Amino acid sequence: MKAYLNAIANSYGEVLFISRPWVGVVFLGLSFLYPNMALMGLVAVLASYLFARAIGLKKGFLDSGFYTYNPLLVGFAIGRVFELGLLSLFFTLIASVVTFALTIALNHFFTHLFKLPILSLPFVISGSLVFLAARKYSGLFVGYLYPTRTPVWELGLPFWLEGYFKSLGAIFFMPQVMVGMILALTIFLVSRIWFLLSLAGYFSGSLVTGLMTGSMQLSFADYNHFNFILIAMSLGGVFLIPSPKSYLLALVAVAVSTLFVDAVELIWASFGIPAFPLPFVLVTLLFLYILTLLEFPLIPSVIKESPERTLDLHLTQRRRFPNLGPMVELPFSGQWKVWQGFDGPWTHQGIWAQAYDFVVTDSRGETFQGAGDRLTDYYAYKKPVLAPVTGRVVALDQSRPDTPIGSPEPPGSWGNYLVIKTEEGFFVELSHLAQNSIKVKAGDWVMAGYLIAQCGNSGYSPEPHIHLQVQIDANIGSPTRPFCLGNYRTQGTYFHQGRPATGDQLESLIKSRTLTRKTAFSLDRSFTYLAKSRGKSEEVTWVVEMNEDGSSALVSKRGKLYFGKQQNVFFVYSVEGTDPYLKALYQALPRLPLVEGDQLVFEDHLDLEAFFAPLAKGLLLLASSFFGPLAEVKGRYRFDGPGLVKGQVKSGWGGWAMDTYVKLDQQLGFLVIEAGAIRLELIESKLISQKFQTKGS
Amino acid sequence: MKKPYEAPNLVRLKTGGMNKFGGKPFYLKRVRKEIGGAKIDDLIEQFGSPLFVYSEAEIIERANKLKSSFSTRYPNVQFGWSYKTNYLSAICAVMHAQGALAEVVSGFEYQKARALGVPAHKIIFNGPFKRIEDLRLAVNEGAMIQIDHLDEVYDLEALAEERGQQISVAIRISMDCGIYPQWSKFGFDLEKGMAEEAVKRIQAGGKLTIRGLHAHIGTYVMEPQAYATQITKMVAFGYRLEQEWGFEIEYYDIGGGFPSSGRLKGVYLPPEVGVPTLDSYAEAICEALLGALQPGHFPKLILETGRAMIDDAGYLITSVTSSKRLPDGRRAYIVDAGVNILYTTYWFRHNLELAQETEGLNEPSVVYGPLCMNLDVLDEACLLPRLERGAKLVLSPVGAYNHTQSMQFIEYRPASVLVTPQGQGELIREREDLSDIQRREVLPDRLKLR
Repeated sequence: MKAYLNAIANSYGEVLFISRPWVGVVFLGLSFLYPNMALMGLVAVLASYLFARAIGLKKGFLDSGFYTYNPLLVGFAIGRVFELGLLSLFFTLIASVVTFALTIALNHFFTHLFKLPILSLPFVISGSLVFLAARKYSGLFVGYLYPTRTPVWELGLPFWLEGYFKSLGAIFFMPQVMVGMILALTIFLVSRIWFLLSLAGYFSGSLVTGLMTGSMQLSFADYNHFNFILIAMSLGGVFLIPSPKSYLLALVAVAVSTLFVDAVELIWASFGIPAFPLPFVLVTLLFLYILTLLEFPLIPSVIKESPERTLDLHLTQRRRFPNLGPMVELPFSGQWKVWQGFDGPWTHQGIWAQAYDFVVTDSRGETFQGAGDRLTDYYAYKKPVLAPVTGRVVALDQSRPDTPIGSPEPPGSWGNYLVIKTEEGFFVELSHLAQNSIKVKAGDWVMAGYLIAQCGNSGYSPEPHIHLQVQIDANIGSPTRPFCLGNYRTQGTYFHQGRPATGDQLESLIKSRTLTRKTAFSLDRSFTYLAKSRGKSEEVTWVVEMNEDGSSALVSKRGKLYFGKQQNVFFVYSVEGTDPYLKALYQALPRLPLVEGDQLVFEDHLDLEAFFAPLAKGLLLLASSFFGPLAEVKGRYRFDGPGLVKGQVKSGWGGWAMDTYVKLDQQLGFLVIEAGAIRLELIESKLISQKFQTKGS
Repeated sequence: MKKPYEAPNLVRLKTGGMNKFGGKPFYLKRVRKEIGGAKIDDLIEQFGSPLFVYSEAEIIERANKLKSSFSTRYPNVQFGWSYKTNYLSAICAVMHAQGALAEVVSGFEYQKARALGVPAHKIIFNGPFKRIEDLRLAVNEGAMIQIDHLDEVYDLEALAEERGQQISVAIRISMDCGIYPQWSKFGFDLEKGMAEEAVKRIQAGGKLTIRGLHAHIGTYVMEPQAYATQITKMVAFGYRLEQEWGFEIEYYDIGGGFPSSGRLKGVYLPPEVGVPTLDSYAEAICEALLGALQPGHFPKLILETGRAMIDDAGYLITSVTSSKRLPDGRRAYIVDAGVNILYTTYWFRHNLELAQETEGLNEPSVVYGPLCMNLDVLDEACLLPRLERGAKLVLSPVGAYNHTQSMQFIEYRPASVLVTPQGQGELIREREDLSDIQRREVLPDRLKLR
């Protein structure tokens, strides 16, 4: 029942992209300024849900007001013109069913074909349909047309401000200053970014129109300028990640839309149809379509409930999981030095710019002992070369002799080499291997970490070293492509993925079976903790559950913590809800490298969501949409003994810091979790039956 | 360098007879004027003679080479510093700074490591003799226990009962690795099935979890392949433990025993020729290990290298106090360092270097220690030029086992100095005086001299 009420409320909020029940309730209440319209709207929404149930739509569609805000708008539009009655009710019913059907159909069509949202397109179509058809329905007109009594509250505001509020109200068919003010306040409370965008959109659009038409008064009196507001809010704050570039694009779109607004108004008006948000739909879709086509970098992968939250998530994601290309593990054991990296000064140039050379050095920084004139003087020589990826060996040559120091083969000679094609389909090449040292055959399947060859000095190699690159195909000499190295330690710090610089000492790390076992959370396992926080203590229980997309989460009564494993790292992806203790776990251990490494240091970035009070967070994010580093929260953690992780979380701005501590259980999970003033101690961990879980949740 | 002046001398001409010294022993003089950049004369002046001197740079160099040599061949290597080799605090601290665990074999060594600030989980508690109170402390603090015999199993089970929780342990095993002598004092024998019995007993007890295997096949082992055999057998047994008894083996501790460049008495070849390089040990061990392990499985390889890590970095400077002619015509020198501080001299012929340019031809000589004991001989037959009183000699390698096994006997024990990488001598142990000896003595009142 609660789900239904939430969904109905969300239908109202969704008109302004807001899916928060309280906002919906405010809008719902506001609509009763026009009781007739409000009732018709409500009827339309209810009718949609009934229809949805009747045709057997699954639970998922109840999660938001996404499928029903279009019927709501149609209901409003009808209610604005026709009085409530038997026939008008029926008319609303069929109109809402049509709109709902259109929503589902268009949504499928747009998502799959164009990767685009449908916005208010169903409403634009069915609204036009309804009003064109209604022209013939004399029965309806005669019985139900009623003169709209427009309540008037004039506050004597300047015409341009009045215009803004009225346009805002016009989105809900209520071009009233008071309505607009309440809407503006609501938007402001939900998101400062949206609020500013609505202002910027409205005023820049109206200014353009005013200049074109020569009358500012008329321009600011045109309610259809609500289109500017919607365009600015949707492009600047929903479908693009908030940033100066997105804001600029949104304003360009607003300027462009003035043409649409005026043209559309003319055509629609000639048929007597109230102007609908068609310009908003057309312009937004047009911009989104071309931006998607060009793989515009500011298109968010996930759209959250507010621009601030989308920005927070995006900034964190970009910091936590930078896109560095395919990940390749180190092709060696122990500590080696990057002799030459990407765009190196000697040979990593042109089409072969993306490659790494590795050598072994001693405490003097030399790569050899003794005189350095024999191959065997070199530390790297004949050292094991390990498969850096899992895949199939597709090409190799091991016939070439190791050349003496100082007389390499001419440049361009790769020497003995090996190419592995990975499961993901990229090609990893290793070269200058020792003669007859390759331990695999073409066609063999190798796992990352397998001993496959020995380091040598064949081909154009002044001294023994390992050359590693990712290339476009299996042929030797093919162009390289960007990639990153994974799972290593340099200067004490762990890198899950990264691009080390020339001269960096890299230490390869191996997977820890113990840590892997301790983080192998099976479904239906429950953990009960004694939670202490500022003198208060209570018992909390978390249960491991699987999400619809197959990922796992720790679920408590008040929140959800998403986690998973990638390569050799246990990640907490995000926390939803208001559970402070789940947030504490996120803060204390946003990631855990499942590798063996005494005193290993690792870093992570956390989103602001888990740290700041809503208002401070909102303002910080607004500012950080202009300057990213403002919203940086960085955690630095260290293995402080077997199963112990100590850390400190710091904000990039404001000097705010918190100490954290995690002790892993001997068997599974976390024994003690500390973050700031919160301390959790494991009381019990057990497997619960499916039945119990359903009952409990 | 300018050659020192040598006074003209008449010597009977000898035509190239074979000699085991090689070269021209009557002219060959090895001179060492500094250790790690610190002048020997300055060191003696500052800290007195005799003097143990360790070169930090050499230790670090050695540790890095060993680490690199193993870790570039096997991805999960950990070194343990064998305390008994040399447990001077400063030496241990240098080793720990290089990332080594502490390997201790008694309650005393355990306390020493803890006092130094080594966390318990970085201490391997080894050896055949662990008092129950030492074990209790180590278990409670979370040290790595390596079980030597069944009585220890009983003790640990009792402790597990006390604590009400399982204890993670490793067991020590012994085996035939094709070398003589085969050590059988320690651990459970693999071939005789004793190791298997011990595992069964431990599993039946249900109070201990085996997570490591340890074996140490000998000392000064000159055959790298012995280690290959050892690790192959250990891993095979480890997989049996995993598959048959469900234990998860996290580490294999193969002990130590690598030789240093010390010259064993009675061995004809000099160590530069006769002793395999450490690289060849690394190669044999890692190759065998990778061959024995399932692909992609890299349990931790622990090495308790002691002698090979420290021996070559330790020097003993001693001064000639007097000289005499022996009845057989040989020259004899009495120096101020005796066998009481140079325990390894019973097995090793240390390198004897002059700390100053010395004129004259070499002549057959004997170097005696200062003790009023006939057996106090540092070198029975060496060739030295005529040394003045006060001339200094440098003995090496003496880093391993000498300090820890030295005793106060007749003489005080000398000071120890660590030469920093910058070439500065830093005192790490003071020369003893009367108070050190008197401190623990109790003279009953009635016996006091009046």
